[in-house]
Amino acid sequence: MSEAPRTRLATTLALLAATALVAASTASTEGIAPARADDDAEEVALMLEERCYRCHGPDKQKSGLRFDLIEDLQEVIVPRAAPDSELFRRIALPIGAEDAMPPKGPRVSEDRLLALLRWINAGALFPITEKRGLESTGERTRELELIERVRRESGARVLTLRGGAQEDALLVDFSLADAAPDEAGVRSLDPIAGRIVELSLAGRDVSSAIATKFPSLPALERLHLERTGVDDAALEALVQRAPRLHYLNLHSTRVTGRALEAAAHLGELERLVLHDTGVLQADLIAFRTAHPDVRTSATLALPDKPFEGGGPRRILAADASMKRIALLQETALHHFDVLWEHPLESLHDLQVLENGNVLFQETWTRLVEIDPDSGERVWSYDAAKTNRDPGDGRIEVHSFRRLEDGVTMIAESGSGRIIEVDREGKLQSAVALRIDAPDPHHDTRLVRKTASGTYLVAHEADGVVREYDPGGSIVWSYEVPLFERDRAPGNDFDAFGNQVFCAERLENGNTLVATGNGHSLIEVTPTGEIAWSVTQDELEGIRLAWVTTVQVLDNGNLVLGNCHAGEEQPQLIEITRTKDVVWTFRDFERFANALSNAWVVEDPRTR
Amino acid sequence: MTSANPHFCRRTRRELLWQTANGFGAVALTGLLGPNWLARQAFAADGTSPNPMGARPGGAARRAKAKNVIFLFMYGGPSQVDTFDYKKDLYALDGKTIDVPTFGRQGKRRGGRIVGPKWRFRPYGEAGKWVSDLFPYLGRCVDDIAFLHSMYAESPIHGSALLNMNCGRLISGHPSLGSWVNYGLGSPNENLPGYVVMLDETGGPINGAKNWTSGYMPASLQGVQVRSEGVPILDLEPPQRLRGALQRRFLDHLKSENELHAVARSANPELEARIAQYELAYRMQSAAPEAVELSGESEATRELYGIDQPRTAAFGRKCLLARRLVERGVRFIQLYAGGGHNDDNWDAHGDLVKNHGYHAGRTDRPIAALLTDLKQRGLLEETLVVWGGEFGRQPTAEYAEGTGRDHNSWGFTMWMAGGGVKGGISVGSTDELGAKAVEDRFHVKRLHATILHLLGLDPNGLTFFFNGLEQKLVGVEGAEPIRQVLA
Repeated sequence: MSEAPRTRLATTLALLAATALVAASTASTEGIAPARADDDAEEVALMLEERCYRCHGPDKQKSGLRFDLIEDLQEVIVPRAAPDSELFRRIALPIGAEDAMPPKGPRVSEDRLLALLRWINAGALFPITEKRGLESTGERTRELELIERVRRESGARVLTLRGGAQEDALLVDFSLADAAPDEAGVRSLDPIAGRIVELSLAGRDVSSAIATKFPSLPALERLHLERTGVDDAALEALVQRAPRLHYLNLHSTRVTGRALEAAAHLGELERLVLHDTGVLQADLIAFRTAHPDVRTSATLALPDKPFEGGGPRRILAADASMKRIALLQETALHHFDVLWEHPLESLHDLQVLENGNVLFQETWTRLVEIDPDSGERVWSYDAAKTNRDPGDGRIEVHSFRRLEDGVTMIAESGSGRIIEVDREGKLQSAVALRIDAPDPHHDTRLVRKTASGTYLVAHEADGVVREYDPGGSIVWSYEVPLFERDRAPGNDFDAFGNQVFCAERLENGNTLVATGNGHSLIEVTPTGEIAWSVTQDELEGIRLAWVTTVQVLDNGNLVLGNCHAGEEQPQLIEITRTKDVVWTFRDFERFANALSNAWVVEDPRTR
Repeated sequence: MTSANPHFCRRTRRELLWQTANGFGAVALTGLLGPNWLARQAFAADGTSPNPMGARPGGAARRAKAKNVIFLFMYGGPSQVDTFDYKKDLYALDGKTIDVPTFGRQGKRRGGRIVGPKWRFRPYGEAGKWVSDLFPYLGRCVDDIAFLHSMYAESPIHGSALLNMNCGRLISGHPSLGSWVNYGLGSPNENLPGYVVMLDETGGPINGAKNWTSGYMPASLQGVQVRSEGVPILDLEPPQRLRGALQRRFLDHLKSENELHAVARSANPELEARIAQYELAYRMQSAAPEAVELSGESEATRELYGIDQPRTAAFGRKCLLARRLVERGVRFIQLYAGGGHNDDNWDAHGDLVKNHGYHAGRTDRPIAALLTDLKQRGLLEETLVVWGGEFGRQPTAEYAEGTGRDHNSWGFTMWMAGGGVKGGISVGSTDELGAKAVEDRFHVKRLHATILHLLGLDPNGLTFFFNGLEQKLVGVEGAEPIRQVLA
């Protein structure tokens, strides 16, 4: 009993030395290596016998290791990597080191240690392939041979997986192989098919012809088919062979809804990856409903815009006292970068168009549309020279709007009318306004066309908001109240009046009125009742002066223009309907005390 | 060996033994989870020449959640209170002088002028995680992210802090995280390096290659620089006259000469490694260009990563490339966002708004895209993504004027996603000013321990014998993974 294994080992070592001799003789003419390989094997055999067998031999098997058996020795040796080999490492440790071997007696001689090192590094430690001409000596050797053969014939990586319930579970990975699996390669999996728990064909061309050649894979849990040429037929063939799949990755393949039908038969499926496949969204939704336990994922996306409303602001603002209009990007709290700016002389209205262009005025009569990205002037119109008769008096434009149909609405003070002109400047329509106190500078401030097609006009001098239908009839009007307070001249906090600057029609039918030197914002009902208001000192830490513009944001908040309020006050204020201030803008470097108009761009084309 | 000469190349035999033993591979064995690792390795050994990049035939632990790591290194030190560590009371303190001890490049200070957070925060995801407006796209990913708000490092100075974050120590010469990972697990792809580093266009970080060194481990375990544009790996292509069949013949001849040389020196595994390196370089000549070729990626993918936008194109390419490398089995990929000096990286000493706006703006979309793309391909489950710098920044101003903040290694934020990490959680916290980690404080080595653990390695068992010591990435004292973030 005790003789046989030892003989076996000795025979192996001797044959090994012979193999090394043959190998070395082809590469070397020196003749040193064969002799030494022979010697080394002999030295190792002697060392094992003299120093190891006492505890790891036929009589005793400490740690369950018996070094006269090849399979046990293989547990502590990594061929071609002596430093990785536990046998070498431990024997090489200095005496007294915790793991040093042998634990008793002198350290193994350095000559023998070097022999051991060379012998392991020579690589052909044990005859693990048939080529090396030795018979299998045990279960482990047979296992090694098997894995080696599968690896060679299939071209795949074959790894034993640790840590699972199944001790001999295998991973087979074709994804990094030199070529796609062929029929012979797939066939070579047969003897290990029952132990494969993970199979990757990722990135490989897998035709249905090859798929049908796969053996049954009863233990397979994870199947990677992403980036393969797999189609429905190939998938069905594979899935049929692997009923216990937990994980199935199909992204970037040609599979369609039939893949879901195949997946539906997998009772243990937990994860299904379907990005970039032909699976329809509706089919996927149905599958999710029917199989709530399966985590499916299809194509995911990031939103086009980084913020869903309320993000850092892009604003267009102008201040005639600084002779500047500028498009600004908020980069941090109270920090703005200039994206574009342009000089101007006078201004009471501005607009950011759908295409990102800016419509504004350079003078009281000259309107321009500019592409802020290129700086190109794409449209212009001079109200003093166009659509006018000789002898007409002085006019100024205080409001304009590019409308949805592409025409431009222009409100003329002085001539007291609203006109609409086409791209060529040709008059499309004209509506005469009622003006009680005519003045080329004060007939109107802002004019807005409502959803119902009427014009909502802020008549500054009259202190009245009037709504005109397209025929010019007044359909609604509202006289901005003075609240029993005396008018006071000027334009700062102490001024007072009802020089209304703008009116906005709300979806509920009410109208928001920015009262100018009334220092307030009021919401009035169709019957003229004040439903809601913000007065001069109502906002915490803020005092209102000339309230010019009001913009209703998508989130329902309001942005007020607070003009002529001095350097201590913000020029723009965003408030909630409960009058909390959530954002302010104050810039007395680029702009100054006459920032009359601004627009928060909620939908910039780019970030 | 029967020679009587006790000295070999002026080394004693014992020295030779140690050097050879340590020079190649040594003993990572105990580092892997599970018993009988060695025995399993014998199964995996292919009996052919070792893969010099991986050194090991490649272990696989079923328990391991992560197979690959993408480390997004925000060089320079992003400010935690302006990014992910929401301190809502800090805004109101803007400009006020406060007693708060700090330690940066200006040394230790007792207090200073508070610089309030410069960006609004808003809640994202099911977790309602507060993220600043610097990262609106990453905000959409918070349910996949575990935030570590209480990181601390040993040095507030870039050079040593980078070594601390990359190699676990303040001093040079120790292997970097990527080397440890490849040492422990090996690399499954024989045609590509197992450890890839991509630098910022403005240059490498301070210390240069020390940040991806293999230290006392074999040189084959060091990081290989891959460039996202142009020639992917420098000095890889042979001269024109040596290409094709001639190169093959040249290499075959070189190999036979080397083997001849090795016959008499079989105790020198470095030689074997060298032979293998030539072969690897040859294989990489075709594998590397394929890996970095993005033309096969769909328009939607390029858009997702922001490659179509000038601002995000450069980092977007790197992130997309990182995904491609993961698909090709590269174990450890480190991407530097920020390089060179001063405002070329996150080192916002002067104008915080300009600096962080720039660096966040060019990385937010690409990083969110990377997480999204990994997720839709089922790769996020096995790929660990790590984000962070070598330290954070102080809540106070560095100078009398301006918004710049000095370095702060006493408390900063990092995050991890995928690879077995719980999503939608935040662990640890700094004090109310964000100055110092106070609750569940995590030393850098806890991060290292967590990364190794997720890869199936035992951080306290993964050792390399050098200088008479079983060296570990986490140091002789050891470190435990951050269990709160493990899924």
